[in-house]
Amino acid sequence: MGFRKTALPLFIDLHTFVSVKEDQMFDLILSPSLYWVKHVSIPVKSLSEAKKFIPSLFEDTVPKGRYSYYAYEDEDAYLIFAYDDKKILDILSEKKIDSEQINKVYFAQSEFEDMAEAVLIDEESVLDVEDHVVIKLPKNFVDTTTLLDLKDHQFSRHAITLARYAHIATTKSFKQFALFMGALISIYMLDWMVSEAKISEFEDAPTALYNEYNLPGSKIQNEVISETLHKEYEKQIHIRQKTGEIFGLKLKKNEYITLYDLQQKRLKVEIKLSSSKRAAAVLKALHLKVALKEQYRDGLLSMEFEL
Amino acid sequence: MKQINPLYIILLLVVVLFFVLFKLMHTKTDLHEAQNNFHKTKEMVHNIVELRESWENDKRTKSALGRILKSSLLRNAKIVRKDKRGTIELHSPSLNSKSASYLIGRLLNEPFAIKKMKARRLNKETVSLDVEIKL
Repeated sequence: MGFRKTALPLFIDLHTFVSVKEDQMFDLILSPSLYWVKHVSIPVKSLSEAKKFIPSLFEDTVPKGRYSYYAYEDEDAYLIFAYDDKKILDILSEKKIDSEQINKVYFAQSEFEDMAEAVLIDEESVLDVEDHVVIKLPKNFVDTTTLLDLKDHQFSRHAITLARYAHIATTKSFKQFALFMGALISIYMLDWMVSEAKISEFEDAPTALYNEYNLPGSKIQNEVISETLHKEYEKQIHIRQKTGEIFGLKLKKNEYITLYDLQQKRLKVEIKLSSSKRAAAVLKALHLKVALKEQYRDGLLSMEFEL
Repeated sequence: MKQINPLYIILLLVVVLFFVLFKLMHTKTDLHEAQNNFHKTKEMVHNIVELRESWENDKRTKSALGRILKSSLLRNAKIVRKDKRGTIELHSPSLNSKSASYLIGRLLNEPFAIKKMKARRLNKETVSLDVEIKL
């Protein structure tokens, strides 16, 4: 059974020296030297609208780099923040604070904006409030100070999350890319599902087709029927072609067909011809339609064709 | 402050995308095949229906044959027609050559499934004719 460790409040400045245990969790308060803050009045109706303008409001203030932004309302104005996640994490790392030891992160601004007196953060520096903004000053700039005591500190609700991978790309671009990929995946998945549904339709369609035309229910049975019908059709066409060729022979006077006998698998024809020479001529005329049997005897040419 | 490396998420999304794409391509191939199979089946069914309509239509065969036999050239030919189960037989022991030529021509020009046909010349003017048509 694991217990959630209680986070220890810890003020972090560039020069803060901390001694930490590996399994200790911290609620960090960032010194003003770790972020940029502005107290601004902008003509917008909501905080979300104001957030859109933050990057441009810091454009000329902060050095070039990748920043995360935060804002909250302060009476009629807004307090806006810019901070470099990686830089802060690097500083924490130098102080042997691993990112997994961080519970919550706060700005000194939100935690000390209501202080009555300057707070001493180290031997040389203090935190003080000037024009609504918590700033870090040399100790000798202020007359009276109190010691920094976070033991009973009540944290505000303005906690931030330090993006560990902000140096790779901004959270926004990660989100956009993830959204784009998600949209692509959704489209392809939809296409996939539609295609699967269509396959089912195509697989069921033949049954409906067989029923419509009163055919047997299986494809094999219908293939057999189709093949049989085709064979029969081709045979009938063949019979007609053969018959046409035989009846179309140019016979001389006193030459005539004496027998035309069409059976299931063969066709027998007998033609009375005037000479064997004529028989040869007739066979030549029918030469491509080679007879199974052929015989010329006593002026009668007998031929048998296979169908 | 535990955070998952967004690169892992992106990698996961890319893997999912490739998986879905692979499945989609596979499904598209199956769909194409199913479509082709169906079109072939449809074509086969239509062929069966057409061939049956043309060559195995008992009613049409009987009525067409009746019309042919009623024609003026065959009216006096005394052709015996026997309607049997699955076949129709026509028999004429002596048919003049003009009528025979007309009848054979008409039988071959109609989509009748002719099983047997025997025409024998009896003399210069007449032939005997036997025909068996499959229903």
